[in-house]
This record gives sequence, C-alpha cells and structure tokens, in this order.
Amino acid sequence: MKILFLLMPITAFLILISRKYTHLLFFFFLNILVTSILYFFLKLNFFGLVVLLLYLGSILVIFVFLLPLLRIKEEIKERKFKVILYLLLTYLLIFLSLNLSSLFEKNDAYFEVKKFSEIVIKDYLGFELVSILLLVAIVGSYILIKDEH
Amino acid sequence: MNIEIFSIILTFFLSLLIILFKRSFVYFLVAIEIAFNSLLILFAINIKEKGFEFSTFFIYILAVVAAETAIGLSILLILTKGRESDNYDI
Repeated sequence: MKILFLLMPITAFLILISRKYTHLLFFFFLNILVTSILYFFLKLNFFGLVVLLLYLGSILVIFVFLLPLLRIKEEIKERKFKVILYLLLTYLLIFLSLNLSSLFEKNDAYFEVKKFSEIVIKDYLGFELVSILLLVAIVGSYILIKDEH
Repeated sequence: MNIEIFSIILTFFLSLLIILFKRSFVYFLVAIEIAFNSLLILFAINIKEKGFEFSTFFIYILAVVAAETAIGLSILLILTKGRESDNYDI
C-alpha cells in the first residue's frame, strides 16, 4: 500500500516533465488509476468506484475530445524515445493488474452504501442541491461555447 | 510523518509546480484535478474516524470539481479560438 501511495507523486512528477498532451493525459490516467486503487485499499470501495467513474468516465474523456478542438500547435519538439521510462510504466501496469484481482477478493468493505444513502436522503436532503450545481455547470458551459451566429 | 501524508503533500506541491512551470491551460486544469485528488484522499483517511456523515463532504467536493472542470474547459475553448497557443502568459 505504501508503494501505491508513493506512485501518486511519481505520476504527478511525470506530468510535470511531460512535453506532449498525449503523454500528459496518459500520466493523468495513471494518477487517477492509482488514486482509485488507494481508495480500495482504504476499504472505501464506493469512493474508489465513484472516482474511477467520474474521472476516467467523464473528465478524462472530455479532455481527450477537447484537445483536437483546441487546434493548438505544439511548439515543443518531441524528445527521443525513452526506453527506460516506458519499461518502468509497463512494469507499473503489470504490477497494478496483478494486484487488482486479489484486491477484490480480500477486501471487506468498511463503507456501507446503504447506510450512506440513508444519511444523504434523510438527514442531509439539502445535499441534493449538488445536482443543481452540476446542472448550472452544464448550462453555463453551453452558454459559454454557444456560437452566436 | 508517515509516508501516506508525505506522499499526499508531495503530490499537492507537485501540482502547484505544474501550474507554475508549465504555463498552459490544459496542464493548469489537470494540475487542479490532481491537487483535489490528493486532498480528497486525506478526507477519505479521516472518514473512518469522523464517521459516515463526514463522507458527504467527499461527494460534494467531487461534484464541485466536476462542475469546475466543465466550466474551465469551456472557457479554455473560448480563449483559444483565435490563438494557436494555450500559454497563459501571451
């Protein structure tokens, strides 16, 4: 688990040294993956799934589809192929995939979704206002990018 | 200081370094995501001590991050319409 915690700053550092947007998105993907696995290790399965769905399912996909729309000329020249870096990444992915299967078998969930949903619905009904916030964000972003003509 | 807290703080400061050194809107938005991610793990560690009610904050912050990213990306689209660079110094 401590190794996984250390992988988080490593992926952030890889983002810092990356020079292309594609590399940036790949390292961002790794960062999210490591973070969500950390939640599973902390026995918070629900949060791990939420992070995985929200970040990989929506935010990263938006980034991927947005970059071709920007039409930015990447001024920085590509570096030479770094074999060691890619070998390290391959090792990292193999390590993660080997550990993922055992994670789901042994993990006793500390977090109970039923109890959490009861708290949200009964005690914190004002919490539902978050959905309005998301709706406002959708409408706001539509108004911002709407073509006037 | 244990290694968990150390790596969270290190990730947070690395995201600040990304904002400082990269000077690109796309990197800027990704760095904010990473900073929020690292701080959310601190929340998650404390959920066991504080109880389930504390976890409502977690979902709330996640929703705010998602909304902020949607708005940020649309602003980025507008700003880069007539430009060929997303450097925010230009």
